[in-house]
Amino acid sequence: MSATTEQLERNFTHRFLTSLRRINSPDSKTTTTHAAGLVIRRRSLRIKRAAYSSMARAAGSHRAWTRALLSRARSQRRRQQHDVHPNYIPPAQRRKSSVKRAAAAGREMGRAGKLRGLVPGGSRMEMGQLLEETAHYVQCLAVQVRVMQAVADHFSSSSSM
Amino acid sequence: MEIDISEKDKLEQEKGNDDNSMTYQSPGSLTSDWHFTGANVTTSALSLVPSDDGQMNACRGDLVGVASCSSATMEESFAPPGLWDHQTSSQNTGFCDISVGTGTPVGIVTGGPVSLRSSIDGALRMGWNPPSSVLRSGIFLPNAHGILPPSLCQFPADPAFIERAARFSCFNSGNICDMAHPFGMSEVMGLYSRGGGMMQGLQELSLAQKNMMHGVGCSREARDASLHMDHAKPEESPLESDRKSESLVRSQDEVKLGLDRSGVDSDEAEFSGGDQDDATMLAANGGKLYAKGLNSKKRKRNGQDTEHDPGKVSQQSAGVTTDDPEVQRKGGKNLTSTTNKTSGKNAKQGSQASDPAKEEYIHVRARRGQATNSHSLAERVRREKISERMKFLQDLVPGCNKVTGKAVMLDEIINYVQSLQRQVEFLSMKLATVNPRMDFNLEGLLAKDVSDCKILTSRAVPSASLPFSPDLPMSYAPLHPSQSGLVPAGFPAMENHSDTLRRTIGSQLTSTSGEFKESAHLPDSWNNELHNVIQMYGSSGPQDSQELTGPVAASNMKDEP
Repeated sequence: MSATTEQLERNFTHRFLTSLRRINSPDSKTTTTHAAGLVIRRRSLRIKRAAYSSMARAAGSHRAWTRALLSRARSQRRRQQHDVHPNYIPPAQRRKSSVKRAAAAGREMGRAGKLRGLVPGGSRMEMGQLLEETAHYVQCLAVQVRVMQAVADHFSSSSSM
Repeated sequence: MEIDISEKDKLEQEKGNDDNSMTYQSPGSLTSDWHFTGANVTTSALSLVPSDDGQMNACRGDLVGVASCSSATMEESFAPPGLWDHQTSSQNTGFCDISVGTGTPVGIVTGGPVSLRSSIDGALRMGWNPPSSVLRSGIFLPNAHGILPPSLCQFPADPAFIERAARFSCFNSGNICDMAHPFGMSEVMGLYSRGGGMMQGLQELSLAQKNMMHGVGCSREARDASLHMDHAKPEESPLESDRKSESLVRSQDEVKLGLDRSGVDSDEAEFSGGDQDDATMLAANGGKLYAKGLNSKKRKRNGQDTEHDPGKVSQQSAGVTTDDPEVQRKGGKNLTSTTNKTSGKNAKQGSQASDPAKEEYIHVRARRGQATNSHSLAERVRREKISERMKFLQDLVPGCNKVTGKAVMLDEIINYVQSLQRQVEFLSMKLATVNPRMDFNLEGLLAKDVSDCKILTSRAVPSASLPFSPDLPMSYAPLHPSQSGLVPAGFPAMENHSDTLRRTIGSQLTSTSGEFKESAHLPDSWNNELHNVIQMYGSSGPQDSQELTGPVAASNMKDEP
């Protein structure tokens, strides 16, 4: 539905821009403690996560992938905040959840397993639901990419002008 | 009547084959118990129903009609019910006690499958008119000493069943597995369903046989087979068996419910399709419609669908017109495949029994020729659901219209999702580099509508101006970066060569201007690569606005259903 798509687009755009502003304006974490390249890298990671989170929220929580994505983001944030090193992950957690899920997804016939790895929360779904979630996920991804492209173009064009 | 003729033909054949040709000469010569004549068989629609005689008649019909059976046992076939007992002892490997309406246990069919029994009963109620095929089955039966498959036990003790059993045994002389023999169940089934007295003979017998084989719980199948049996096809053919089996499968449901619509369409190439048609036909006319054209005829008759019409409705039920051609075709295919396999597999009766009803209920019905296990049904539902979703995804993913097959489709979907995620990463990187300069602009953009409009309108312009960048290899596309836009052929998902070409040209034209847009080299490369990737997917990709004409607001993203 184009109406749904447009609504989704507007919702996502709003959230995304809000989070972008949040990321860019304070610059509290982007102090020059790290190299400039790292700053960019960090920021891009944050922007990416913000994009996905905004899209997940905009899409609504009635979708399994949005819930999975948001829970993943939440756990990522917790890990980042609490752990000393962002790359540190409690070994128990990793072994139980991610390894098992990754193994389950990988054990499956190649293509379906790959798809499960791509779609958030895909490892928990069965094939039918997986395809449905994939369809919705693809639509939302397309919107996301389109909006991000527009934002980037807008910023880049306005910056260059 | 055709039936008579066919009967006669068969009789003659039998004569040639059997030593006891005399037994074939005239049904009238049969013992009084049998009182069965070809004419009777064909003409008396309800002859079998009311009494044992009918039962016997059916058997006799089979007996007489069966030519292939060895003659030695022919005499037995013509014997009175007691004969059946004898035969039963030897043949009744699989026959259960079959009590025809009169309650007289038919020796042979003592162990018939219950399902078949019910189906036969139903067929009888429908004014089953034992065609000569029944006679034939009777003839076959004696030959099939011990040949009767265990599945036969399930058959009801209907006279039709007896006939079928006889036929079945005869046909399958030495080959139990060939239950699908044309003279098998199909004939019998046809007899049941056919009020018109068409002697389907082969078909019915085969169907009947099939039903017997698959008969477990396939009473409906038996009925269907009988229904289909009405085809006046004296000739046996391997196809018939298939068809019959299919029709058997279908006939049962049809008999019960009215016709199985779906089966018809799928079986066009196969007799199986004819079977369905037969089913419908049975109700309507004499079974001359055995030909494949029956499908069409069947559909015509479907309008008359009345489940309860004896011998008529089941076949013609509205189901003929495939509600779901796809499904039906599948059902048909399954039928043929199953029929081929089932010949020897009595154990698979349950699975073979296909519920022909293709009417769309909330619950799932097994299609004709498909397994009726709850597991099989559930799996079929699941498979259909998955294929439906795959089709939807096909519309979503650009360039997948020509792709057929789940595996390739999945590959495309995976590629598309990966490319989209890569684009997100590129864009986030780009935004990370670009954003700091635009902080002050963010405030103005935060107004929803304003930002949306601005962003959407601005989207078209820069996209076309991005140059190709050979710096970064296209990890996704196998094409050379510099040729990515011009050579979409290398990319399997490229659906729109012309669009890509246009974008390429547009990009190249504006490349010079685009060069200066990026203040940093990194974002430049990212942009180039990103746009190369984006262009891979043609106009339906996220870069909908990349058309040179530049309509902005319209998003071509596929809508959700």
